[in-house]
Amino acid sequence: MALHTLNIALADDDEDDRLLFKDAIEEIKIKTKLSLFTNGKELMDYLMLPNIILPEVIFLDLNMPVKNGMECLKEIRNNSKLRDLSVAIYSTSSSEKDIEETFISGANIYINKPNSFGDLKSAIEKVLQLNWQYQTSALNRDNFLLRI
Amino acid sequence: MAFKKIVSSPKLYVVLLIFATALLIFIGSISYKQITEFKKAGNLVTHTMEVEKEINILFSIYAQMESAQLKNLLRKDTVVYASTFEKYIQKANTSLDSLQILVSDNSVQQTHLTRIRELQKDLISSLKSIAESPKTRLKFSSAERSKIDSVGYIMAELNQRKNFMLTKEEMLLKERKETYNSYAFFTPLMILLLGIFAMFVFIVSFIKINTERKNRSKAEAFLESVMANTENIINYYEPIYKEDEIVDFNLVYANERNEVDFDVKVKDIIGKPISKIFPFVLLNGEYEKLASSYNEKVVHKLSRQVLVNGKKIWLESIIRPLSDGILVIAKNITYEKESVVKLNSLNDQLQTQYEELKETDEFLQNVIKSTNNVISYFEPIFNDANKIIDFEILYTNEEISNTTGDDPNEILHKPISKVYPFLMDNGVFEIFVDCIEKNKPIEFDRDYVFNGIKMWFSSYVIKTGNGICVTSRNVSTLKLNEQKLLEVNDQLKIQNQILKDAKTIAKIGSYRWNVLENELELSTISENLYVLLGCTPDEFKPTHENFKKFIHPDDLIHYNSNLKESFENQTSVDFTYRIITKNNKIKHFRTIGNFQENDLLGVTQDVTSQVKGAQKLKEKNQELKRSNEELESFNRVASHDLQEPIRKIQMFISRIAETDLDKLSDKSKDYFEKISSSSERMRMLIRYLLSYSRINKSSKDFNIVNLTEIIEKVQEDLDTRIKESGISIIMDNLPTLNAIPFQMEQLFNNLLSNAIKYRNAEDPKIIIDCKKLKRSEITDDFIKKSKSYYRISVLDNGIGFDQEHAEKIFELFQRLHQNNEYSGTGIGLAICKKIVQNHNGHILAESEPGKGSSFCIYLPA
Repeated sequence: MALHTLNIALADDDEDDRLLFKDAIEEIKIKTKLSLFTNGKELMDYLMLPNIILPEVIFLDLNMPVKNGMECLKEIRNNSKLRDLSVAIYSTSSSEKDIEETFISGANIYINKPNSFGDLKSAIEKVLQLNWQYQTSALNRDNFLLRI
Repeated sequence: MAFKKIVSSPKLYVVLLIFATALLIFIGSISYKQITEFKKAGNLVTHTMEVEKEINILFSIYAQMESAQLKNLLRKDTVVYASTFEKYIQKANTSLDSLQILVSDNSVQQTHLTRIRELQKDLISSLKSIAESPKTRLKFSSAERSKIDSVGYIMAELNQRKNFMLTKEEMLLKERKETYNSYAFFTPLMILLLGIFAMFVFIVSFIKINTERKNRSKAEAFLESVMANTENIINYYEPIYKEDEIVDFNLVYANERNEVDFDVKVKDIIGKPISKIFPFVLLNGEYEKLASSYNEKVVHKLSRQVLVNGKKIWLESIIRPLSDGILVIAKNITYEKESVVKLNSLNDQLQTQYEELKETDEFLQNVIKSTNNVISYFEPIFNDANKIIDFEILYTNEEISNTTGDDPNEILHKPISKVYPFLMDNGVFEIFVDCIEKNKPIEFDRDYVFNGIKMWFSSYVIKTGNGICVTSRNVSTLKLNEQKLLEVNDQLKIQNQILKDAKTIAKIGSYRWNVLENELELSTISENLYVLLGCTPDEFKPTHENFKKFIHPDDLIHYNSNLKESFENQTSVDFTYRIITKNNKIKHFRTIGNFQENDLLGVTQDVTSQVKGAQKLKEKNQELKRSNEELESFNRVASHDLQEPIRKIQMFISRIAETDLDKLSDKSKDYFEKISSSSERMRMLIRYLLSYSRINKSSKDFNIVNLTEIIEKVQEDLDTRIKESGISIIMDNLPTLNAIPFQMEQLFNNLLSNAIKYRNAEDPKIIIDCKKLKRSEITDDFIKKSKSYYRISVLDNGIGFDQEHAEKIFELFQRLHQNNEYSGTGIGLAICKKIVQNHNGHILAESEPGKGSSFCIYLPA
């Protein structure tokens, strides 16, 4: 268990999802600081600000207005400052196409938005507990999709 | 033979005649001698008689002398006496001399005569002495008496001598009479004989001559017919003299052959000089030959070509001198000469042919050895009814071993019904029989199967000697090509027909324009082009300028610039532009053409409908794009926007269930539970629908897939349910194949899930097996593009279903069970079917209620 507070960002246009995510992350035992963004542009604008504490893990919804998750992912991976951030895709879509594209574009893990709150909690917990160093170095198509 | 008799018989008769003549001469001379002898004998008798007469005369003289002396004595007359006595003496001497001559041939009589002469002297002297004595005395002295006595003595001796001589003559006479008599007998006999013989010879000669005459007339007739019918020209010429020199010849005889060879009438030419009749004799010294033949009595031979009545003919002549003229026998050998020439050329031809034949023979031998044709010789085998029932193989070349694999020596002398039994059934045997019976060569094509390979043979069968020679050529490649060609031909025919129809339908017109417009007469346009312009044919002059008047003004500038560019670069032309027809309709034309110097040649097509079609197509395409976009957005809606609310509903349900479920009344709890299950069902439906719609083919997704690994993974996924149900899964022989991995996973996931779901309570079991089958071995009916397939069967011992639903279960949203009995969406097997179809395979199910079901999947190997 990490003693320090984890900085986490979530970009999702759905208010309900943001709410549920927030509830879920508050209920898990890991100490976190969550920043919420309503679309990709907001997230990216924030990340580009100077002198901010970069989040350790970014949860990224794919279907968002203004700037979608895919664009954000590509921008992050093309930016030297943000390149090493861990990105978890958090989407309703379970299409192979989306999974494949985000994997190729450099996302670290893919989470299908679960149907129950319990599942959501355990999914977030699992992601946050991952040894990211290891996860990044052994980036692997087989365990890219998170199984809850 | 008759001719020979005529020749040979005269010789014989000449010999006979000579012999007869000799005999006649001989007999004649003998007769002559006989007659001479006879005459001699007669003379001798006469002679003897004369001698006798002379003797008697002589002695009568002596008697007269004596008596006269004595008388004188008595009368004493001496004077008378003296003269008479002298006369007697003379007479006696004459008689004695003639007697002397007569008996000169008889010595005995001569002796007698000599004595008589002495006695005569004595007598005369005695008588004389008597006379000188005195005549007066009457008495005689003794002396005188003695003298008279001595006369008596002499007379006596004379008489004696006379008797001797007479006796001798008598004897001679007797002798000579006998000789005479004998001759008198033989001579007439001889003459008679001679006469008879001469008669005989005459008769024989007459018969002979008569026969000869008859023969001669026969021979003459024969000769005449020979002359008339001979192919030789036989002419006889007699010389015409002028001042002791031969100047010409007269034709005395000519046979009928002249009419044939010289085209003259024999009766017209006879008696005419040959220089008139046969002018050619004056050439080449022929006349000299004729003259020399006659003069020097030599035979000449001539062989030359002469001109007769404008025709060249070859004549071969023999000129033979006869006593009064010359016989010319000529033969028209034109035909022979020509024949010889022909024969020579024929001979040459034959020689050439022979050599060619020899070459051909050698060539043939090589050909037979090296040919890839099968050459065989069969001889027919007859039954008792003289009907051909089989053929015996008498020869087959080596090539047979390459075709049927037979050794040519092994099949020798065997019947074809044993070696090639199929020939008896496929009509070839009948062809062989037909060839023999009708003696005509037959060509035919047949297919045979040798060593499992179908081959086509083109055979030629011809009757040779008693049998047939069969030459067969493997034309399988040819046949194949021919078939291909036929197919191509058929296609061409179809295409031709299509083209024909196309021309009428496609509204194509052709043109030829002189671009420089200086040779207007060269410009032409087809009738159809007039029609396309809404005109009647030949309504305007077919120049380019006139055509351009129809072009839409907006397109004309572009048209002209394009044409100019093409003309300058001499590139081909392909424009599409609009025209305004005579009846003010706008049409789209497409002109394709090529420049040939200053002429533009090509076709123009009314492409209005195509252009309009293309426009429509463009519109349709846009529509399709739009609908595709709509579908895509629907997909997005389905995948995200539809899932999103139901996910949230479920999320909130779980939230309520976690926190506030206890606060609800029991009834509300029940309702809440129903909301939860309905939302779950909806989520499932959406998910399956999505995955169903996502199944599509993309070649890049295909990969080498190990089915064992796939099913192991599926088992892993279904681990909980497998353990719960206690079902055992047995798999065997699963292959590695080219497929889309996640679809395979989904396929078996669905099938195994189904098997687990519809299991039987006791000892549930799933058996997965696979077998590779060739296309031909598969009885199930589906479109088979691959050569072989894997048949993967998934068997279970579950509840099964009625076979009548075997096809229905693969349809979307078709379920056989009530909702509450077994949970399901009716999409699972539809997805399976779509996946299998996506892989060009086939899926089918067999089942019986209560006895389990079997799903059979064919996938291309």
